Amino acid sequence: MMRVALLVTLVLIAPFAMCETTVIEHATLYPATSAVIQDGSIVIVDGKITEIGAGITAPSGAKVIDGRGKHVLPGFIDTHSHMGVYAWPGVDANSDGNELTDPISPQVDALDSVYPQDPAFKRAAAGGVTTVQILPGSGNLIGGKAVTLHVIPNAVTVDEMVFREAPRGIKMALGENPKRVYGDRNQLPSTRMGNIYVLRDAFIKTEEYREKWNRFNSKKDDSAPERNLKWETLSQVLDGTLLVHVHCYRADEMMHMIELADEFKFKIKSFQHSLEAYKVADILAQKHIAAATWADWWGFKMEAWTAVPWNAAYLVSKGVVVNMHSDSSDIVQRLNVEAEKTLKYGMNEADALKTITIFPAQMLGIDSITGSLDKGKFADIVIMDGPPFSIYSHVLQTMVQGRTTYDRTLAQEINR
Amino acid sequence: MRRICILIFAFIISSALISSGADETIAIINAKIYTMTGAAIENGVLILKGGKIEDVGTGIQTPSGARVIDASGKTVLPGFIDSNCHVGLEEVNQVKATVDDSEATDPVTPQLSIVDAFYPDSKTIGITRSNGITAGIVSPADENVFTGMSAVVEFSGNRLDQIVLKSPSALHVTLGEAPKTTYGQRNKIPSTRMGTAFVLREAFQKAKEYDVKWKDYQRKTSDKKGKEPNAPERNLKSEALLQVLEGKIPLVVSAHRVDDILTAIRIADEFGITNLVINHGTEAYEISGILAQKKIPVLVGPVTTQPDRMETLGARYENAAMLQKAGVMIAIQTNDAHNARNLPYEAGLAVANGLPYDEALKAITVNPARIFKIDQEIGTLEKGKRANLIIANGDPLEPKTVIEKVFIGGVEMPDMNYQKQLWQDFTKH
Repeated sequence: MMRVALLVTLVLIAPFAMCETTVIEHATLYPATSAVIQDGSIVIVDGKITEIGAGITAPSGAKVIDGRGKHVLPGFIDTHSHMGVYAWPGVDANSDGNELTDPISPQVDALDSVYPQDPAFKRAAAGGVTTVQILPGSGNLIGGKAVTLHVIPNAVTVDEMVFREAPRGIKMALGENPKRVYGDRNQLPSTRMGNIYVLRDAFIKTEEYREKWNRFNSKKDDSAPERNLKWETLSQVLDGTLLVHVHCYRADEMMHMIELADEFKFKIKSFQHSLEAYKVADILAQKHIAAATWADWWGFKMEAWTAVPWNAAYLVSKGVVVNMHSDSSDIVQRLNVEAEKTLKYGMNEADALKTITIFPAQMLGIDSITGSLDKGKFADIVIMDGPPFSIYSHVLQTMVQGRTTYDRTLAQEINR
Repeated sequence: MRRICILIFAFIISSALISSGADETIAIINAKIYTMTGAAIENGVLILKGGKIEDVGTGIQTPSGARVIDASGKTVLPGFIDSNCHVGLEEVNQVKATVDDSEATDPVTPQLSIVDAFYPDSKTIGITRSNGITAGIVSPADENVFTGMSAVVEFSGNRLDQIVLKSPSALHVTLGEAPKTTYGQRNKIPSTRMGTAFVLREAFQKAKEYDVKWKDYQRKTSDKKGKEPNAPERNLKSEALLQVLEGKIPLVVSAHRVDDILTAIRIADEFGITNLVINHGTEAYEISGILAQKKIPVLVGPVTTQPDRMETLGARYENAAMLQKAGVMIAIQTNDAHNARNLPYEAGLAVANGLPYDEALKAITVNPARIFKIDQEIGTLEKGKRANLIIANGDPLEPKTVIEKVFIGGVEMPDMNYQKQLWQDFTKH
């Protein structure tokens, strides 16, 4: 109830908070969906991009930002973050990302764990990040619902951060984590075959649950079945209303997951981590399954032992929608540097930019709203003092829907 | 005494290395050369012979028969040195069978040496080297109060006697959260910071007493008066600690918080330890004046250390820059095995946060060599030094730059590593 009340308040406040025009002039603009524009301008009205290009004159009364020598990019998007659900400092009391009491836990929602005052949000904004997907952890086969947030430092409630237009997601996980967590307790699953069995069983139960409700709704049964929030949530997977993001390192497990999805007729939106995706790049491209991955993280566990840093560039060359995710409140601050790393493994700069902007937007189902500097999109913008693919460049300013979320001139407060 | 044995062993190892250099003479020409002894040389020439740098400068004649490498538009630098890494000690972190970086069975294990755990066939070696890191101070992981002795290891061959450049390079201690968490959980000392300080003091005190006993015994033996005295029982822990008390090797103390750093300084002063090095030093910028005045070097980092734990809440990206500006000798480190290849980018990030570029290069070349007293052999490109160097197609601190060639001891390292092989096997590249 409280959430509804807050929502109403925000909806009322929002239009009054904006109503202003800003122009960034004479900047190098990187739309991400088209070629770099030299000496260009971008006009922002009420939090949206209304014009972009060279030779645009500032509307009268607009607030003007001098973009000379500056590089303007779409805000960076991270599809895999645990900010807020594993808030800093990392003490047990702040550990709210894995509900490790049932390997099938679709009924829980990361939104209910997010601590908006996690200081990492502030640092992510300082790294030019405007949008993040917060996922539950990977200790369960089904970890719960994921939520896409605007990165708004100092938000008091998570409602101020929720990206309302973004479809909700659900986190699943194969591989070592679930079998380790439950195997250590001598419970199912303790093997990879156990993982697949438990998942399959959950979808069968969901189908049975749906059938019961269908019979009731079509008046074949008189009494309403008992509600079950687990199967209700998984029902949304079968309906296609929740985007399915599967934590999966090994190629063989990606194939098992694809088979399972085909069996129950749902779509996998993305594999997360995807370290062995290079072995099945053609299949991912053909099935339109996106891959979220790191530039070069590897070796921390057995299923990360066969990572190669050519992965991202190769996947892009095969037509897979790839994004550089962080899974880390450290790496999220330097997504541009992660993308820069891929350049030496065969990525070109245009694609590298896509892996932290429009590609992750596609993965989260928000590419018509954000993820590039295009007319009509949210003014989710980063202004840098140098080219994005240099470790020496700094973020000067970050904007979410035209609202400043980071300003380097006030940067001291980031640090302590 | 084992100490002497260690020293002799170290000497034998370095001699073996010196005599086992490459036979090939190589001339690298037209390069921008960062020697780390002054300004970069434009259009420079560097001659490698017998595993060493034969000559470096401009207008140097190419020796006849030399293999010539035209490095026009390229940058040549000393191979990078990671001042604190665990390469070769961890293969797959979550597979205990492959992890040998911490003997967490006793908070006091100064007698252990990473040389006895280092895996020369580790996949992490070739991968680290591909980004231009040619040597590291390979140290035990932070966990025990005394974690053991490190060694300077080159990331080349597959035999210990070919790759250990100096052993021991330092004795390592951990303060702060790690030891008290590990042993506190077992209801053993230390479970508090004061417990950790006591464990430190007690061990050094015992080492001093041990020394007195042995000196007393040696005096009595040489007197030849009265009956033959009984030799004291040997204690390898005390023998390791005496190397620090006698100033033979540095004491490297891992500490994040200011109070932990000051505890290290206080205890070092109490025992007359003059060769103290602070590792991590997350809040060291707060007391940069004290560190500069006491000439205590700091192995900063990783630069990406985050305020994500109670003891690192003071983490700042500007730490390296602030320390250097205050006159503290700094090196940059990764504290990693798999990600040690990111060392140059850690240095780049320090530049982005105020550290002068040349100082960042020093922090991963000559400074660690000086701190661990191997600067006679590595860390700069000077006549007579070991030919450990890299050729880069641009600024090596930029992640997009490719390290095209790596030489260790004058030998060109293979342009292949475990990951590249996997990549080729599965994508037919």
